[in-house]
Amino acid sequence: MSLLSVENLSVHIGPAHILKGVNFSMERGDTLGFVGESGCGKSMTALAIMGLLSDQAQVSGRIIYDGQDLLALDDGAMCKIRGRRIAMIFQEPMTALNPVKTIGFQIAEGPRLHLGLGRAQAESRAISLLDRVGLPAPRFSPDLYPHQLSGGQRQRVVIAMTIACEPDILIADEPTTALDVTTQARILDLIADLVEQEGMALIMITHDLGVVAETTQNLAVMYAGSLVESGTTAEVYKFLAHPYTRGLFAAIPHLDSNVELAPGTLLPTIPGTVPLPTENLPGCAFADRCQRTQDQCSTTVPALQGTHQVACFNPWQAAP
Amino acid sequence: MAEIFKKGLRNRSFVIGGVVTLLFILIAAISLLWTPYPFDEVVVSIKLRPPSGDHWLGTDHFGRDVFSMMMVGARNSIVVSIVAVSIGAGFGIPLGALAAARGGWIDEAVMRFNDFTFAFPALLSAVMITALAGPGAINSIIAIGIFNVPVFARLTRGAALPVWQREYIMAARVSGKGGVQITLEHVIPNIASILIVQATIQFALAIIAEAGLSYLGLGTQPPNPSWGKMLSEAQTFMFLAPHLAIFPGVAIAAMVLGLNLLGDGLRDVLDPRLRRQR
Amino acid sequence: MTVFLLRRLVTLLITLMVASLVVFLVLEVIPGDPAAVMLGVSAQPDTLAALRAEMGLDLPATSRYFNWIGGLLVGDMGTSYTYDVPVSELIAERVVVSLPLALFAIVLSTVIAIPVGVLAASHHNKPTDISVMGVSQIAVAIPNFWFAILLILLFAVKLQWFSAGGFAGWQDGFWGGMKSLLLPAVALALPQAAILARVTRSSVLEILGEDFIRTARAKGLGKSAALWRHGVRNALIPVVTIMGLQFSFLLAGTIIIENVFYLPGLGRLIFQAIAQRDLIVVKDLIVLLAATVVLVNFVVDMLYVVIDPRLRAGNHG
Repeated sequence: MSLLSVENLSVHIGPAHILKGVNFSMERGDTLGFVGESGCGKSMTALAIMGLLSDQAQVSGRIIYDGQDLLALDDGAMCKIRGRRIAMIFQEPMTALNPVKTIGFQIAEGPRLHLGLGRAQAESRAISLLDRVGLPAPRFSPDLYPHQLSGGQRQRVVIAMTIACEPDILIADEPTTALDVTTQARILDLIADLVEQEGMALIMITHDLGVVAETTQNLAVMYAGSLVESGTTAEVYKFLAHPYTRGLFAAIPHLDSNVELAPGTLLPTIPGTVPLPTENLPGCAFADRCQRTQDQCSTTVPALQGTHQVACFNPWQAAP
Repeated sequence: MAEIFKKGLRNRSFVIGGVVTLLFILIAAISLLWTPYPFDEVVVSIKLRPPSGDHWLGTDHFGRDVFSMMMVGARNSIVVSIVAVSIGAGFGIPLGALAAARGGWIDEAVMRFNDFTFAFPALLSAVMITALAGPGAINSIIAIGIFNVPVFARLTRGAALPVWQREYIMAARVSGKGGVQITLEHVIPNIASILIVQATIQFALAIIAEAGLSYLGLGTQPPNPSWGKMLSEAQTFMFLAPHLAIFPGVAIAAMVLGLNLLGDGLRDVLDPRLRRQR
Repeated sequence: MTVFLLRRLVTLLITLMVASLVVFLVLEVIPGDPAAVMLGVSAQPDTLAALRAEMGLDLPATSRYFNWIGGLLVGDMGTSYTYDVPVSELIAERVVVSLPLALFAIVLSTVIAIPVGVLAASHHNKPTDISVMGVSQIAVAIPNFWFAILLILLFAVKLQWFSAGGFAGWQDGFWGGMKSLLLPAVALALPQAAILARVTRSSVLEILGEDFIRTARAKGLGKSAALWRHGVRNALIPVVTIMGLQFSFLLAGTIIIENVFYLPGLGRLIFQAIAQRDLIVVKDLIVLLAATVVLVNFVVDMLYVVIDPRLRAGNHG
């Protein structure tokens, strides 16, 4: 049985159809990347798993974790799972921490809540966690306040908070987007190390194809609320089968590309724009931007097919 | 302008508040020309009567018509409040704008001035002036006016400072415009909505302050009626004629409520960004 | 932080000095001859001369000012002209009424307003919230002295549970005295509570949208646990500001309410002093009250540092 199995997850907020039947599953220790541009629904998927969508959201489908459908649980039961079994890192480290509480308190809170640790025990656990995430004593004491730390350091504190109760699944939603490049690399390394040491499953959400390449074994590409391609990272990167994936990849300047770019060459872009979640298109959402459309593309929504799954009637067959 | 007004008509607070405020202003204006009875006509034989067809709100302990007194009282309250708030704004806004424009020691001085003026609530200033010059409506105006100055100064300064940081201001300065010009052409129009909304709020506060001062005998003097004074006289006759204690208070509350709603509505209409979570 | 404290302290002292200067100017210098003001136009020349000598009016203004300030600092506030007792005695007598009244009102309004505000925020846009907003909107518009009169009408005239005014004194014990202060404190507390509730509500609403609340929820805290453990202290920061600002209104309110209920406090004292043109008392009292406002604002500033650790060291790692 999979550790986590998301089946036909759909989310509506008012007239907007944010997630359109997302399906994927993960085993223990899997690392899965979610890639796509802003607004494609990757964060929404994470929030749906955590049960943190707004009250106005209408959710359907099933999210099976460890035999239970998370969507069927009430908030009290979900609270026992959040932080304890499934934990999440958010994008903005500068505002993720409570400014009036010490970092020690905030790290210790999870263990005290879920594991029943006493104050002293929780504090010493916090100290060892700080050490593990690269904030060793005595320079980084648990009595520090968030405003005394830099962005990268705050994100480390957040990471410490998330692994404090040894969760099965760690969801990282653009954890390094707000950080500078050197810090980015270090934080990603830290996450990768911890995931391996703890044997956690990792969902890495990002719009950065480079990040995904470094940290995940499996990859899912999202577009306009649906999964359009998924498989192992190696497969997806090799074939770039879905026209959207290929377009994404082509839009990044590559240093080691075989093609010599003459000065003045424009970087390729995908023409057109992402459809609004309120538009209910009958066919493939990417159809009007795609160069490989066939008749059925605008009338039927393609389903994921193949071993290396691609939701396309006319995917690229050969590697670029 | 017309656009703003149309937008306002769709906002409930703006409409209700506006109607109530206008109603009171109208009544106050009418009082200049006509009241059911002369407000100071003493007819001891009909004193302390409850509301009736002849005297819509009854009579007071001198037999004066309560409704007429309240109409004139509205006029007095409104005049005092408008003048006081205008004084406050008239001095406070330039002060605040100056502090924001110049910074440095001028800014410090204005802030200190604010600090210390805040130490004297309108009541204390009114007490001081009365001790000096005796009571009167002018006292109220000066006292309330004085207290309004730091309110507007602080607000103007706070709102103007971020505007000065904006790039088009730098552009204006580089093109040789002086501080005064920039303030008048760019800063004030940008912060105008905040100031207008605050002015409405201050107007409401002034009405309450004026009523309080008159209640204590420090403000509008008899025979000029004022809602506050009417309430203090009513207190003596509470056991005999409770209605006297109710109507002036309802009037004050209604007018202030109307002004507050108007202020809220204006805030929504003029700049939704000003609107905090409601 | 010590630098911050010192700066605030210096500002405090300057403000106090300027305030006292203004009071002195207005009440002693501007009138020209304070003795004449006190005795009135029909005063006899020799009574005038005697009073002038007693008040030391032949000394230049500057030395009079410093004598006065010096006296204030050691607790010697001169002698009241009307009652012929030291002003400090008069004040001490009255303070035991005014201070409990003010404190009672502050406690009442805080204890009611903050929970109500938090409640309204956590039920945003639902009936609880809407009714809280509606009631507070009306309560803010009601002048406290009118509310006091209405309370008297209901509880003293109609129901006869309380007296319509006057102070029973503390000699019957704590509750005896407090009973006379109950209606006045409620009247004082109402508009304060309304404002505080609204400010608390909007502050909490803003906090609820903050990222760190989301982090707390992601850790497994329930909605109200996240709110109370992480949100409230942050939300209190603007609330404390407002409470500080409201203090001067509270002071003015206390003065008015004492007059409504005929309570023998500092508020009544001021008015009696004005009526009797006892400038000595008026001067001392006003400076005292102004100083209280300034001091309270100073305390509020200090409170910030306690609540918000960002204001303490102020250095980054």
